[in-house]
Amino acid sequence: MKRIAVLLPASVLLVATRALAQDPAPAPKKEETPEVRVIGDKADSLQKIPGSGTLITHKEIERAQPQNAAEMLRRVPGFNVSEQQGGGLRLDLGVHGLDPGRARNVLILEDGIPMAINPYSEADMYTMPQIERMRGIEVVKGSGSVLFGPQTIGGVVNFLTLAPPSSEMSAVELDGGQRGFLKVLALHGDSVGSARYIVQAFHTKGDGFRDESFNTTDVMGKVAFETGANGEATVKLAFHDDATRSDDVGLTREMFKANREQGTLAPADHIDQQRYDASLTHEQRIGSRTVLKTLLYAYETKRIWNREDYDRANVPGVSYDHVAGDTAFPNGGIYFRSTNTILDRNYDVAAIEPKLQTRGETGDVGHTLDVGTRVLTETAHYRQLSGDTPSAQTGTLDYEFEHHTYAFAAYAQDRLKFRDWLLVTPGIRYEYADLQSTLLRQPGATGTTNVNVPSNGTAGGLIPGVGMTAGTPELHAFGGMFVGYAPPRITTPINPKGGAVGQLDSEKSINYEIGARFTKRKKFHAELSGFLLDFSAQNVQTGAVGGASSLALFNAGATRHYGVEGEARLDLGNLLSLGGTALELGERFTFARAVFAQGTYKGNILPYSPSAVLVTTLAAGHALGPGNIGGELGWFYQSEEFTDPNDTRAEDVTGRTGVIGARHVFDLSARYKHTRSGLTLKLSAKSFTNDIYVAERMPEGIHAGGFRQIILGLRWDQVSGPP
Amino acid sequence: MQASVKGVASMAILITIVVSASGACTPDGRACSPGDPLPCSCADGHVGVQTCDSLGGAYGPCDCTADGGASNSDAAVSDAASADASPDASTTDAGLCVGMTNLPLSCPCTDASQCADGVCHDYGAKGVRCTKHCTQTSDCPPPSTKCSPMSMVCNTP
Repeated sequence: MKRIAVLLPASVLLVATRALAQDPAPAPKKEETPEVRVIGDKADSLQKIPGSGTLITHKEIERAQPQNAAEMLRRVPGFNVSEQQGGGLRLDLGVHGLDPGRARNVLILEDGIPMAINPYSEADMYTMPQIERMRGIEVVKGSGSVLFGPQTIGGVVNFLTLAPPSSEMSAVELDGGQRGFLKVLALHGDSVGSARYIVQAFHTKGDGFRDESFNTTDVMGKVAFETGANGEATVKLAFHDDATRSDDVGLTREMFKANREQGTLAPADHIDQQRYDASLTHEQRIGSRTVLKTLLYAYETKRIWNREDYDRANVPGVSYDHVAGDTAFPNGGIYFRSTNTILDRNYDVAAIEPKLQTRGETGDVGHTLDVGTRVLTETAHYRQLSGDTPSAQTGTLDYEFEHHTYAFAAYAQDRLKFRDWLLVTPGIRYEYADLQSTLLRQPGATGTTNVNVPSNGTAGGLIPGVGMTAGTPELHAFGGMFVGYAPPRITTPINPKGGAVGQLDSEKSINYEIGARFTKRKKFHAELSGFLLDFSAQNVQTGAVGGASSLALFNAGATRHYGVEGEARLDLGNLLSLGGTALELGERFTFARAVFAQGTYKGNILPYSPSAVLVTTLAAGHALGPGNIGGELGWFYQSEEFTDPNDTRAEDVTGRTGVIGARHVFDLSARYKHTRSGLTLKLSAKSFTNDIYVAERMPEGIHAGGFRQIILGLRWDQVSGPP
Repeated sequence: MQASVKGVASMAILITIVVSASGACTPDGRACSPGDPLPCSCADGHVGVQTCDSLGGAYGPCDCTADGGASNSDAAVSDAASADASPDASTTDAGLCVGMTNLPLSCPCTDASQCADGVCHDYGAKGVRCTKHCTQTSDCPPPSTKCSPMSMVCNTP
């Protein structure tokens, strides 16, 4: 291991020196926006990534008319996306049988910048990436993820936001639908001199599926400009605001049986959340073979979550605001108190990441070398207050806690081209994090007092990986292995019911992958791969064992995840010579088995790890009159999944434990675009069979999914040609 | 084109094989959560309770002697449905509440199967009575006066 660590930087220097010496002439300027990519757009991009990869294009997003990013992510082989709570504003995403809770096992990036509220200590996705901002999604699950971090167990998802155009473009969209859904969107972009810009703003509101009304406002602006003869930069500013009814307590077993569409039990529960982003991505070309990209970014997330207190049994002497469920049956009711708990949290992240890519040769071996570092600091400030009404906005301060992480990472990857058909890509990353926490206030025997209880620790290590592809860009095999790593997690720093501060160990796995990819022009594309994730230690949800919150995590020790996944896309219009009619069939599938390999639960399936996920889409398009008509039919299937480490089959009275049955979801979208006017009429019917199912039992009971949502929209696009 | 069709066919066969294999591997997990109660029907039409054994192996026999555990013991509870209702419970015509099936709104019940609208709800101090699911007040016929926003059932006088 030490030898690799020494040799890689040495080869970096050697290749970089040669590349610079051989290429005095700068490359011609490109009309591209400086940004960080994990795959790229070129025809052979997929061949160059050492492992499985998926690219969801803007065309696919446009065709599907998704209501949120989760709809597109569930099309990625290996992914398990659960229905989110709170109007689809948060993301639960599992990969290869990993815990989907708040997507904490996947590195989610937007333009190469992490989206988790604290990427090291609390890598949770409390804001859903806004699909309206996106022009594409890149996913890498193999050893290529060594270049990114800190969380690289499940893989890397990079959302690509809209790029500033080189000529004027504008768009306005108005959507309306069931349950009071309304969306208004406006977009404008243009160029001024050598600078290009784009600004987009939208607002959505609705009553929600379970009377969880939501209001979302999102604004993003990007400016791309030259910084010299060989340099460009992009500045991005973004703001996102959510105000939504959002409960953590779900339905009980009998409530769901009686009425699958029952509204929230805690209508006073509410989240107010804001996120502010600022980033600078600078690209400097040094000769024709070297590019230095520097990311400088900072973001802040503010979240206040008011949750009404409740008991699952009638506590004598406690005053209750309302009672839900069947109190005549043991544990059948939920007793909501006349008080609430206010979780007031504030997260800040700032980082700088210089990345250098250079190409060169050593004898007959070509090198494409990526080296980089990341210096990141993050802080979290948690306050928990007790309110004296169910919807109180402020109250008595019970707990206060502060956390700081100072992290450093360095990485290097060399894509060695031995032959045109043989690429071997070794890489290594070093992670170091200094974690400092202080408990500032807590209840004690003499009442709630200010305290000062520090706790410190460090974590990190070397994370190597190697991948290989053999074959042509059209047909090639790939394989590799890498160490998956997740930093130690500060778990539920302030328990909503009061309790100790906890910290879990970092998670490590060795991930193996082997597969093949075949592409025949644009007519047919297929990829098939097998995977094995061998964990020495993994944190798993308790699933309400012992009465703890089902969201609580525990160190489950060794686990194994293995399976096969793949995708196939077939251009039927071309194959069947349908003339002007485009017809594309898509199939994505995952078959996985994730099991405990030691301890009490040895041999059991991990919670929330379905054995099969299938996604089938059929998209069509045809020129009709003065425009184009198109649409897509999507069928999503997910097999049953357990929700606790005991693999309990029967549903318990509280609805927190028990198998979740298989589900089928059908989506339909259609659109007609009038070419000359730029007007597009859109119609989408999500979950049109309205087959409502148990989506999740976490954190505290049944949360339902599969509600039908029909939305009609009108969009106007105006695009000027190049000057 | 022939190669592509063969590729699709191969993939379909592979999917079929793996789907079959994944279905065959379903483990024998724990049957139920230890101590978990489950409603069951008694011979006299009442609702009894089955309880999951301590190992989570199975639910026990239907216990028809239990009183359900909590009925009418929660007088301190201020249920939104009952709090909004008139304190005068005499408006229900006792003559309508005869028989064991198809009982109208507000008649005392022990099991949903007795109620015309299939819902038997615990109103706390007002007892367990037939009602119906609702989303708005217009869904609730007299003697009910409104749809309880919390429990999504019609209130009882």
